[in-house]
Order: sequence, then structure tokens, then C-alpha cells
Amino acid sequence: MQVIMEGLTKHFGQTRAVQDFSVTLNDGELVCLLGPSGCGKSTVLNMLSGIVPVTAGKIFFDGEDVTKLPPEQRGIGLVFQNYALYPHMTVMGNITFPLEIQKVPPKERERRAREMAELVHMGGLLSRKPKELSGGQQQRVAIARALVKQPRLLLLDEPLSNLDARLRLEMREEIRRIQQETRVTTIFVTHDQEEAMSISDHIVLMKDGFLQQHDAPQQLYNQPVNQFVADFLGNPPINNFPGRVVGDDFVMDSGARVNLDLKGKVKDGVAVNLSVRAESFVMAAPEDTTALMACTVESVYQMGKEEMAILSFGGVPFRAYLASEYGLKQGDQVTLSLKDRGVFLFDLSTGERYL
Amino acid sequence: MQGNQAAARKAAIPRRAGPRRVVVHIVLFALLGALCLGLGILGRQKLDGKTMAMEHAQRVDLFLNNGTAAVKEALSGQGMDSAALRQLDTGMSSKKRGLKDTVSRMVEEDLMDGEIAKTVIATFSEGALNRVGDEALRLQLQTVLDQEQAGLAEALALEAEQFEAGFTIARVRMNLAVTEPYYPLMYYYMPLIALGAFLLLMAAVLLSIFLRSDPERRAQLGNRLEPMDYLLPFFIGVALFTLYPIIRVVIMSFQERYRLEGSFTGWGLGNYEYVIKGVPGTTNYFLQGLSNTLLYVLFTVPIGTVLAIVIAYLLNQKLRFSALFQTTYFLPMVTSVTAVGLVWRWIFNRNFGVLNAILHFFGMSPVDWLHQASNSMTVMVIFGVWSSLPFTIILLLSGLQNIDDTFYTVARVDGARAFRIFRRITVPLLAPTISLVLIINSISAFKVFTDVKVLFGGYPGPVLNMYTMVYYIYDMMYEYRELGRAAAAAIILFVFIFFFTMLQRFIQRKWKYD
Repeated sequence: MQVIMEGLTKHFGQTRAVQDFSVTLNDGELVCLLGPSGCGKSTVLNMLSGIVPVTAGKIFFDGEDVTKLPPEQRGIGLVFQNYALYPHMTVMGNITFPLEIQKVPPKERERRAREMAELVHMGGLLSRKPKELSGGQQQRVAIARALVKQPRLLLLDEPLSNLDARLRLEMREEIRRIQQETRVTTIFVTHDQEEAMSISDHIVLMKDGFLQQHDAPQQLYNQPVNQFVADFLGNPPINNFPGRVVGDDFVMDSGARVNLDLKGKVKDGVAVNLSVRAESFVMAAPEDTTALMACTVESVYQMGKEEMAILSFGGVPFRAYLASEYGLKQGDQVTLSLKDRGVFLFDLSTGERYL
Repeated sequence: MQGNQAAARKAAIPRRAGPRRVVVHIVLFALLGALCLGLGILGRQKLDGKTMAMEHAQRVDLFLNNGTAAVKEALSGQGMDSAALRQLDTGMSSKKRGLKDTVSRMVEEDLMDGEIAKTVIATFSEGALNRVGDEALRLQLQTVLDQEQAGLAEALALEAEQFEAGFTIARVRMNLAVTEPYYPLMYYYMPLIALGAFLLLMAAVLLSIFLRSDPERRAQLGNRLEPMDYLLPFFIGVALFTLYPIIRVVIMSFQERYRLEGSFTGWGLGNYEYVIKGVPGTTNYFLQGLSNTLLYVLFTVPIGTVLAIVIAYLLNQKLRFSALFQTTYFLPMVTSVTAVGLVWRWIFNRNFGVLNAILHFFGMSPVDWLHQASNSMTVMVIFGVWSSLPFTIILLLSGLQNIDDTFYTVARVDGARAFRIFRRITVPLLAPTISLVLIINSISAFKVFTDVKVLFGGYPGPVLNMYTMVYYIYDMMYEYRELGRAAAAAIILFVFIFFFTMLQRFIQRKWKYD
């Protein structure tokens, strides 16, 4: 189902939770609503489900305006962080409950519940009570319960936050698999960028109630529209060097200089951040003439075939992945050069991207 | 490294407190044990003395009374007129005081029964003849007595011997008055001796362990005793004010005709028998109380609980003025039953009551709530439900607030309407609280008493038809001073509550999820 949100706004008293939020989600996609705590992503979800009325804006499901529709008429499946499984019902009871409400005949209910349980690999545990299940199993049941009434839209509100690291990995692959098998349009709320990157077709990144960027995960990573997007995605976080543009060069307050060959693409004298991903540094070759950085090695960590080095440039420490064959030691003076990918210039005050 | 430091610090502090504590315990146990044992033995001795004294007194009485009777009996066939008989009596009673001292002394000296009997008969014979005015009659009686004296004395001695058999220390203890000096020592000599022996044994065990172990183990022992010392005050309090009264009631229920001053007539099931059977041919108020109480429980608890669930559910909604509603519903809790009971008396009043005014408004004829026996239970149930509501509502409200909102959200998104959510989610999730409420309410309903007392002006119903189990206990205790019967009724009430609660727990054992 195609979901269109148009100028969606939500105010709780003085608090502006969501502001002028416009996004179009395509049928059958798994989309992550990503952002730090309190950015309004859960509010967007609640407005989509109809639990929270909108202050302004419109929501369309397949072109139909559902803004004023009560939750039960929107055809939505909901999964919460705490699973919200009814503790007094068995797995079977939990999965059939939505069908019981829709007055589906008992036989049919059971058949569909079994089907769903098979889908989430819970077929053998139908007579268990929720407290007899592990966190991951409870999450599977919650997903089955949300899917059993064949919703047009599946909403998952931080579904993996209560799981430990190993289960989280497993469940996120499971959610991906289930979504691929059912092709139900799915919105997945999370504050974990890695989760969002690995699972989704598209990511909607939010901050302070505003939409920042809506794109494919790799696009978000490689082409962030602003400083916030660049900062939020990536592990280790992107390295930022504050400074100014002087001619073709980037110059830091300490005098450290990088020739970026800007050719006037950025106005002279603008205060900017030079933001570089840790994997975008390489050892400078003798023939390199541009984008050279003279750095000091501060410490080195072995990480398999690569080394993670902490260096400093112009007094600013930064992380870089470098091939271990160089055998860097603390205190070494090295010259690095920048790759084409993963190097950005952002306006220091507005965060707007120049390069 | 850190471990070493800790060990060093530990070693630096001399651990003397442990062994010293053990010594203190041994001394205290020994002293207290000796004291208890001594007091117990003293009590036993006093009891023995008392038994002896009582036995003596009774033997003396027996000698005197039976002696008088024997002499009189022996002379009865001699055709005396009433004046002569009177003379005989006065003659004998004039000897009585002097004889009593003599017999007392003789009993004390442990002389043979035969000897005492002879003295008694001889003295009475003499006394009897002293006052007879008619000379001829006196001679006639004299000869009779001379002939019979030996036989009379023998018979008296035999009676005295037989009497000796049925007199025990337990009987004396049973009839001991609370006002008796040393009463506690005498009455509780056995527990005192047992406690003393136990304490001495403890002291001995501690001492032997102490002597046989090295300083390290002595310290360990002392450390192990420490927490028990801290528990002791609490334990004494519980033992004295909770355990003892309970045990005492159980014991009392087997003590027949137990009186406030501490006397009773014997051990047995008589109290239970009386309570259950009552006095033949009269109303058995205990059974009446039992059936009233059961009815009251069966009406009040379900009605009260269902009402409370509904009200708590409504109060839990985000309503306007909900503070006002909450105050209204919690009002009964902060008012005294006695005071509010009087208000309800007025509400139920036949001529001026609010309830009848409401009935009248709807065109119904007035009902005499308080003075017509058939309405008594209704009145009780209305009042009982009303006064049980607030506490029940508080419990249920807290139970409702513990239910996660996401359950409701999920159900609502799935399209469930309010009633289905209430029936399929709220009530089952509230079940543990409901179960608690049911148990608490039925226990307190079983104990209903004040309501009766207040609603019916200090009587168990308009025609003594509203006895409850506790009212019966109260009646037995304060009106009839039959403590044993009151205790027996209390034990029966306890058994009822116990089994009722167990039954509820059994039925509701599936109502727990976490």
C-alpha cells in the first residue's frame, strides 16, 4: 500500500512533536523511521495508526484520505517494543484475538493463526503462555498477531530495543524475511542507525520533528544532505574538522591546510566543517598533489586486516581505517590523502552541505 | 592485591566481640534458666501446699459434717419431738468450733483416720446429749450411742479414706482464683519449669561447644548468635501478644465453664457441644449466627466486588471531576462505622428515612427496614456493601493502573470495542487483584459485628434474628461471661474462614500470570 503523508504536524500543548512532515512511501517497502530520542518518529507512527489525532496535515493510504479514520478502520498491524502480548492468553489466543474481534469463524481463525505462526517459526509453541517464551519468541508472536488480520500497513515501534545484542541481530533478519515474504508495507521505528541501515529499503531520518532526509540507506550514508545526517549515520562517527574556505583550500584555525581543489565551488571565507568518514583516508602516494594532510599518529588498534588509527590533524584528533601493512606506530608523522567518496564540506552554522 | 588489603584490614581488627557474646549468652541463659526453673518449682510447691491445705480443709469438713450426720442418723430412730431434735443440733454445733481446731490439728499431724473418727464421734455424741433437757430421753440416747459409737467411728473412717482418692493437683490448679497470691507461678508452673530447663539446656550446650572449640570457632558462634539477638525483641513481642493469645483461645475452648477469674470445671468438648447444639428447646443462636454470616458473605462479597470493579473502572477513565468522584467513593473509609451507622439508621427510618422517601417518590409503600425481621438482612447487605466499597476500589484502582496501556492500544487498533476490552483484557489482567479483594472482603464479612450492633440499636436485630458469628462470640463473652464457649465459637469461625479462603485460593489458582 502506498502511504502519503502531507504536511503532517502534531503539537502537544507547547511542544512541537512533528512539523510539516511530508513523505511518500511506496507499496511493499520496508521503511525505517530513524532519529534520536524525542525526534517525533513515534508520534508519526501513532498518527499513522490513528492513536494520536493530527494537528494539521493529511494522510493517504493508496490515495484514500484516512486522516479522520479511527484506528480500527485503517487496517493496521501494530507491534510494540514491550510486545504487549496478553499474558492470560496462549500464543494461539493472542494470535487469534484480532480475528475474534473481526468475528472470523473459529475454524478459519485457527487456520490463519497457524499459518502466521508457521511464518514466524512459532508453529510448535501455540499452547504456551507468553511468560514461557523468550524475548525473541514473544516478538515473533507479536508480529504474527499484527499480521494475522492481513493489515495494509505494519507498524513496528522500536521492536528490537528490549532484546539482547545477539537476538537483535537475529530478529532484524527475521523481520526482513517476514516482510519480504508477506510484502506488506512496513514502517519500522528505531533510533539505531545500524539497524536501520541493514534492514530497510528506505530510511526516513528525522530530527526535532523535522524530516531531514528520505533516501535509500547507502544514499543517506554516501550523500548526506546536511551535517546532522552525516553525523548520525556511520560507525565510527564521521570526523569533523572545523575551519574556513580560503581559495581552493580548507584552512583550520591552527593553520593546518588541505588543498581540496575547490575551484571556486564554495565561496571564499565561509566557515565550514570538513567531514571525512574514517574509511576515506589513504596513505598519500608520492604523485598525489591535492587533499594531502600531514598528521601525527596518536594510537593504533589492530582490527583484522585493517588498523584503526587515531591521528591528529591541526590539533584535532580523528579516526581513520588504514591498511595494516604500513606498520604505524605512535608518534609517527604521516601524510594522508582523501578519497573521493565520504568527504563533505558542511556550513559550520547551518549544517548545509557545500561539497 | 585488593583482596590482600582487605584480608590485612580484617586481621588488624581484634575479633573479640564474638567469643564475648557467647559467654554473655551462656551466663544469661543460665541465670534466666535458673530463675524460671526456681519460680516454676516455687509455683509447684505453692500449689502442693495449696492442695494440701485444701485437702485438709475438705477432710476436716468431711469429718465434721459426716460426723454430725452420723450421730444424728444414729439417734433418729428414738422417737424425739422437734424440740428435742433442735436441742440435739444446737448441742452438736456448740462443739463444732472446738472440734474443728482439734480435727485440723490431728489431720495436720497425719493421725490415723480411725482415731480422728473416734474423737469426732465421741465429741459429737457428748455435745448432742449435753443439751437434751429430758433426763429419761438422755439416758435412752446415751445407751444407744454407747452401743453404736464404735460402729459409727469405723464408718466415718472408711468414708474419709475413700475421699482421699479423688483429689489431685490439677483439680486445685483448675479452681485457682486469679486473685490468689502467686497465681501466675502456680498456674504456669509447668511452662516455667519447661522454659527454665530449656534455657539451662541451651546454656549447657553453648558452654560445651564453647569449651571444645578454638577462638576462631568461638568468634563464628558469636557472630551466628548476633542476628538472633536482634530478632529476639520482635519474637518476644509476637510470642506474647500474637501467638500466646491464639494458643490461649484454643486452650480455652476446651476448658469447660471457664470463668474470668480463671477457674473451670474440666477439659473436654463441652463448649463446642454447647455452641453447636445449644440448649434443647430454645433457639440456637450460634447456628442462627452461622447461617446469617454465611448469607451475609454470599451477598455482600459478590455484590460489593462487582460494584467496586465497575466503579474502579469508571474512576480509572480520564473523567472530568474524577477527584470529586474519588473523594465521594472513599468517604466511607475515613468515617467511623459507628457514626455512619447512625446516619444509616436514619436513612432506613420508617417514617422520616430518605430511603422510604425515595420509594414513596416512585409510588411504593414505605418499608419498615429496621423493625421488620424479614428486612434485616437486606439492611445489613446494603450497609455492608457500602462500607466495603472504598478499600476494595482503592485496591482495584491500583490493579487497573498496573495494566500497561499498550494492551488497550493494541486491542483498540485491532478494532475491539470498550466492552470486549473490559471483558477480555481488563478483567483477566485484573484477576489477581480481584482474587485478593475477594479474600480480604470475605474475611472481613465473616467477621461482621459492628454493623449489627450499630444498625439495630445495640441488639442483634429487631427480634434477636440478626446474630452473626462474632455477635454470638461477643454475647457469650460479655453478656454471659462464658469465655470457653466464646472461644469455641471463635475457633469454629476461624475454621470456616480458613477453609473458605483455601477454597477461594484453589478456585482462583489459575488467576495468576506472572
